[in-house]
Amino acid sequence: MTSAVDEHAVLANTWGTPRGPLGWLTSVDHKSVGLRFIGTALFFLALGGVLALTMRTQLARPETHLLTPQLYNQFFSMHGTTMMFLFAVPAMMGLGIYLVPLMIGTRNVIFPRLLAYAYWVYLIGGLFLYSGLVTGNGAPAGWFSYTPLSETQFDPTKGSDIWAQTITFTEISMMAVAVTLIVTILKQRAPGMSLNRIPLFVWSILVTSFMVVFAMTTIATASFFLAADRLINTRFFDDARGGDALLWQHLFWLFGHPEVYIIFLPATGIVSHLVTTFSRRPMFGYTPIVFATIATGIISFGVWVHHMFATGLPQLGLGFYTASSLIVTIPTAIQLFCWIATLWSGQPQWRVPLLFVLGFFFILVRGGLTGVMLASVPFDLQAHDTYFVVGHLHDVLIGGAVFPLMGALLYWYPKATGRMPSEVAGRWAFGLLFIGQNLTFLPMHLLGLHGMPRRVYTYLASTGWGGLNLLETVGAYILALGVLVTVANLIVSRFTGPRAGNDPWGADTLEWATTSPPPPGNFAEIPVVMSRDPNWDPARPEDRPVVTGLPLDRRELLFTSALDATPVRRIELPGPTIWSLPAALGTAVGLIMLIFTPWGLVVGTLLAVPPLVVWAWPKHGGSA
Amino acid sequence: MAFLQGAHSVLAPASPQAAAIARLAEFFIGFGAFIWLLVLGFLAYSVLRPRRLGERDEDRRITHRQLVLVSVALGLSTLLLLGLGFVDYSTGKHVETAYSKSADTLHVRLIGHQWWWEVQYESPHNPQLLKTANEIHIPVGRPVLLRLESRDVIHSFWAPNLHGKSDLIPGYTGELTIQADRPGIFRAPCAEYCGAQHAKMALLVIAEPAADFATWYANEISNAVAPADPAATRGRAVFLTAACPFCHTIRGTESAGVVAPDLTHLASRQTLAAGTIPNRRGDLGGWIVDPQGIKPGNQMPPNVLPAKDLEALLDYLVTLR
Repeated sequence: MTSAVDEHAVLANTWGTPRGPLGWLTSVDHKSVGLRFIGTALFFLALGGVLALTMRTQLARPETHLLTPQLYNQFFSMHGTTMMFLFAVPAMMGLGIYLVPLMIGTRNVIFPRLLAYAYWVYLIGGLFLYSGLVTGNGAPAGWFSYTPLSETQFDPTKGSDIWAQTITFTEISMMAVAVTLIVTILKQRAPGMSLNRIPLFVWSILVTSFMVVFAMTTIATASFFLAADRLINTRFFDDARGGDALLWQHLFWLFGHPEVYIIFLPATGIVSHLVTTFSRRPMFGYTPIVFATIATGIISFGVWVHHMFATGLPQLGLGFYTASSLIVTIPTAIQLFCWIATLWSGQPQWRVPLLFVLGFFFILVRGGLTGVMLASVPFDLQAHDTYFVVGHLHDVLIGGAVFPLMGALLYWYPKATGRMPSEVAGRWAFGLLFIGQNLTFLPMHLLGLHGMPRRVYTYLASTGWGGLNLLETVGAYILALGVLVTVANLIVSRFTGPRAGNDPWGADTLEWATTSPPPPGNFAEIPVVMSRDPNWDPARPEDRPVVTGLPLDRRELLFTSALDATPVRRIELPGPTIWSLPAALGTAVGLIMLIFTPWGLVVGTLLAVPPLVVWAWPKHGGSA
Repeated sequence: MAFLQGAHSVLAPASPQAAAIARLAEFFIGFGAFIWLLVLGFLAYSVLRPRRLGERDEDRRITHRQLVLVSVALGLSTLLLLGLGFVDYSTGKHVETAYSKSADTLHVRLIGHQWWWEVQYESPHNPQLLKTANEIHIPVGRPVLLRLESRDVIHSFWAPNLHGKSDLIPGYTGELTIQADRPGIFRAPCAEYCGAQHAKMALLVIAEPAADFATWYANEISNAVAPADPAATRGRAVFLTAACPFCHTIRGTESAGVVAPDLTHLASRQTLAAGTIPNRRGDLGGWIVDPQGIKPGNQMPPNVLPAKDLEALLDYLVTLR
């Protein structure tokens, strides 16, 4: 009989990653890959933020010429593309990658090498987009790249090609992540974690992952059509030769609106956990929240035409999309009411993450209400493509997703690092972000109603828009300062923060039952789940039931049934590999070459397939 | 704030359609603000309300009260959304049908270009086509049916004081009926991102009494009058021998370019380069010499003319009233 200490050492050895640079390149541990996704997403947040600040500086006064018109247009195109594709979705999915296995009580995700591949593809794709900007080939046609403006005739640069391929990079990456998380959530939950005991964040990630699979399929089709139009003269979007310029808008928004919920739903999952933990109360209305999450995911695919009210589609058709756009608010209302009810009956703990939840309410409810206004065709025809919409969408995305994300970073920080973040710096950051957000985006609604269109690189002094624009620019700098303080907090607390212990917040979910940071295999023993709030089980942690009988010296774990999470069989997961990296590099070479020649397809396949074969080669000469 | 009553505001309607939408907007804003404060009020109370020690454990009614409150809030939200849908529908109906085609509807073709507006007045009685650019004159009180087309990328017509947006999409012909209730100059910035100079692509809608409109129309449909004074006559020769006629037309001369604005009555317009600069002699000279400095990326090349030729050309162009 070996001692517990020895067992931990064996387990750490089995699930560990080699040390040093080699380990960095070969790691397939969901924790390090997840943190890389989050870190890289924050890096792109900074880049997108710098673009935004430069634009705000230009707009602070009328008729300033800090940026040329062409460069300004590239800046807002890159800003939108960065924030949507390179920051928001990867950050949320990165959080999912880090947290899901910990929350459902398993040791790693089902396809760890695919996950590593997904990260490299994402990283290369993001850097590729910015290589365009520095070589004068920044995306010139907006993050939405409407045809025919993005066709070769109107964009002879490589900007729109690079944009389309960056989208392809992120599609591949996010699809791989989504598939991995779906299977992990459905088949690897700790015994006893039936569907009605899955933590709400995991539910939100499950629904989001399914949405990614469907939505990314649409944008993959669209971006492929666009790239083909530009490379080999297909005519999908060219009206002069039998194509249709509006087709692009349908395909893009059929992806584009679900995209908003792909960002928002994980944020609702985060809020559910913060509300539960900081009101010391199991979530009121767990089941309605789950159904609301699923309903949002489905309905969000039926609202896309509200981005196209001004295109002259028939009135009756538009009425349908008004109705669906109103209906999609109901599931969100359900969630809001359940959170308020939980806070109502609980004992609020005034810690920093709770402040971010309250800020989330303040801004998101406003953004939701302006969204309801925009669902109305007559109102939208006035507000569409004005600063009203810029104000609305930043309320929804910053208030609805970035505030919860900031709260989440501070909340799960002690789990990932073992140290507490600074409470004082957290309060300062919250204050700056809150004031900055409102100062920047509230006046935009008014400006839009006073006639300021979006995507203008400057405006005449005679328009009278100067005062509010100056105010917004001041707000934008305060907002940026808030992000800086948050990032500084995350870096400095790594060294100076007090030790956190396993469960510094007194939270209810499984990730708090293991050490901070968790060991390579996440748990000393796989827990058995008896309730929705397993870590609030009155039994002492060491007295709770666990799974026994799995070998410690192999990467083995339990497959459980999708509905009730009863054990089905044992499976063995693959270990660290270098081959994810060359596979990603091969994919990247192919995609980048495709901008110049169709032979990129051949070269990319030849380069990417051999590493895929090596990585998938069975280790034991048979099934594990 | 001066611009609250300005010529490009949703909240200063000058037409029945814009008035209906402005009322809707004001209702939405008031309603939205009320709901926002209500939700925040409940939220504030839920976290700040005084709590008794251990009330959660001893008081079962708390959970029951939550259930009732959440259900009531949800039911109310659904009813309110239904109500909003109804308000939206009736406004839409009103806007759509109020000024549909009547017998004296004026027909105007509006064609979007990177980055200017081509305007053609269509008349069933007169085979002569009135062409102008970057300005639409309309008679007060009469419906105007705009037919919206584009020659290159997607643009959007939007005169916020008159109506909501309608896109100009290549391959499609859109329709929008506008009508002004009062005279005024209403600015219509392009409202769909259309490339480098999207920011400097504005159209003026000039609403004037019927008599004034008729006068303008009669003048505008006629050909340019040959200049009387020698300087202007020389300027006309400069116009015709320089690169100008490749792109521009002045009806009544041999010029027949169609890719750029018709200049027949250039001097009667208020702005140059689609609302970018005022139409004054000095600005016009600057525009001819250095259009890329004023509106970088636009299609007009710089024109290097001897100073005397430029002066003569300006002498001529300012006569094109």
